[in-house]
Amino acid sequence: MASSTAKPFVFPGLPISQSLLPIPADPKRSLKLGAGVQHVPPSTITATSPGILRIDDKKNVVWVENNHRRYVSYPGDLVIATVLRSAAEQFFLQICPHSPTVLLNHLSFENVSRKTRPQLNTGATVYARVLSVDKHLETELVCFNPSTGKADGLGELKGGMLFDISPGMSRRLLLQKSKEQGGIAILDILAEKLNFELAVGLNGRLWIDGSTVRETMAIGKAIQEIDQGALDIEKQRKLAGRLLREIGKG
Amino acid sequence: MTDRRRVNGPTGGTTPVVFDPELVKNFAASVSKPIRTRAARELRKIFLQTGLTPSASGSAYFEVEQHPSHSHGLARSSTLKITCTVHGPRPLPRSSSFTPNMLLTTTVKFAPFAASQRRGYIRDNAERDLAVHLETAIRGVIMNDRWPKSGLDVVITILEGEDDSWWDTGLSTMSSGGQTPFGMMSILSGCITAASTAIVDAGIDCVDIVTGGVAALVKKSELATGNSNLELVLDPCPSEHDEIVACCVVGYLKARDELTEVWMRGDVSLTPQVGVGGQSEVDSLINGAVQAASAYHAVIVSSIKK
Repeated sequence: MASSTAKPFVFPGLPISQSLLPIPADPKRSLKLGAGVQHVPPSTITATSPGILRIDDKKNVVWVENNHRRYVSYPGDLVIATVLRSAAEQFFLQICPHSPTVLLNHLSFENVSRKTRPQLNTGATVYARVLSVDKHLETELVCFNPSTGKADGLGELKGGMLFDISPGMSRRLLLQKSKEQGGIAILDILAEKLNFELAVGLNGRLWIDGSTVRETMAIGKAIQEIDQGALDIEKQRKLAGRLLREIGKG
Repeated sequence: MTDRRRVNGPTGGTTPVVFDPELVKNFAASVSKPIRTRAARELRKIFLQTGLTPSASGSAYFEVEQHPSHSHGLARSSTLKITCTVHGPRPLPRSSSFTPNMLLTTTVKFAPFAASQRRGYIRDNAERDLAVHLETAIRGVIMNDRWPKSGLDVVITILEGEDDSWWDTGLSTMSSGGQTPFGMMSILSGCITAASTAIVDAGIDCVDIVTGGVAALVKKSELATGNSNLELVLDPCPSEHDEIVACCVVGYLKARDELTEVWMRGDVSLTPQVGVGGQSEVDSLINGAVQAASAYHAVIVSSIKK
């Protein structure tokens, strides 16, 4: 992913020096600005939100990554949303408390037609992908992969429990190599002894369905503890051992 | 069924606090009022922390250090303690009309115990005035076209505000003459700094970080000699000075070198003066306030870095 080794901290108003910007392989390719950076004509780029400056040389992108409580949606993000109400064509969902509602079309599921549209009641939990974000329109979600038409694990989350974590923690959990890059080892350790299903939303929500309520609670609390206490891998191992002993599977 | 027609006292009963007038008189004679011990261009240290309110999208706590010789006991001088929470950007209620930009709402409220004179729970004119000043100061930095049809609430609670008088026993150092007290100026400066930190903590896109700063022209003491009897001090504490002639607070953007807010009060001249480095008093006041504001910028950056 990000190729830079040094992680410069930026804050609003700070001009980003040319040397930090990615060097494109093709000089004709224009630089893409992601979240938290702004172009000030003619050729200055300044940060607009605080965080770590991330650079992707391959894609020629620069953006600011931060760990705020507030989630800002971007196309392609996986989120866990709650159904508020259903309208004629779509569901109205909420990703975060006190944030604008988002849309999920009735036909944005795997294998549905007008006749077999899914029935989601108020309060149902849905695992979905952000399709489009526009400041003037409502954000739209989908529950299937548009290129293959398959659900890929998206859809309604039945049973289980929701836990609140920080958006930064959910980003770590969703990394391909969450142990090496994100420093998360607890899931691998627990998966050796317990059976559970887990879905991570980048909006700072975590859905867990264990075989018993007790196990579900224990896993959720452990991940919240790792998030708040910033536990390293060694401490996570100890925590997992303690947790398994308490459940009686140690 | 409780009595809903009358306002009844607390069921437990309370003991009124008694201040012995003799004690107060003796005490007043025994302690002296605080005197500014730091240099004219030296600021008081501030404490700034973000993320204290978990439910808000951004929050900050701001505190100014106590006068070293009056930091405890009966003769404790007042300082500044401010909390700020930022809620949003969030959707506006259905009844409101369309706005292409984010609506900014600022609320400034003194806690009832914030000053020697108790405040009511309903916002008074001084608080509303502060809120308007604060809004102009932070409106310019937020990129509010990124969130149409949304609102942003900035809520400030002043837990302790600076009094113009020191230790409310008629030892009042100056009369504000029914005008806004000079203490309000440093309160506004603190509010700007706290609000800006909370907005940055909320991750709301800003063109820069705005900081507040205050400078004042004060009458020099009798002993000091010089051509002018006025002196420019940064970050004035009103109770430490015999007479403040003029005071200025600015909202300053350091990276862009711009001002979003200037509030000046008092008796100042526009003609260049010899005593204050060939500048006019107005210019030297604004420059002083800018100097104070830019010093706080580093504190904000280090507090959001954590």
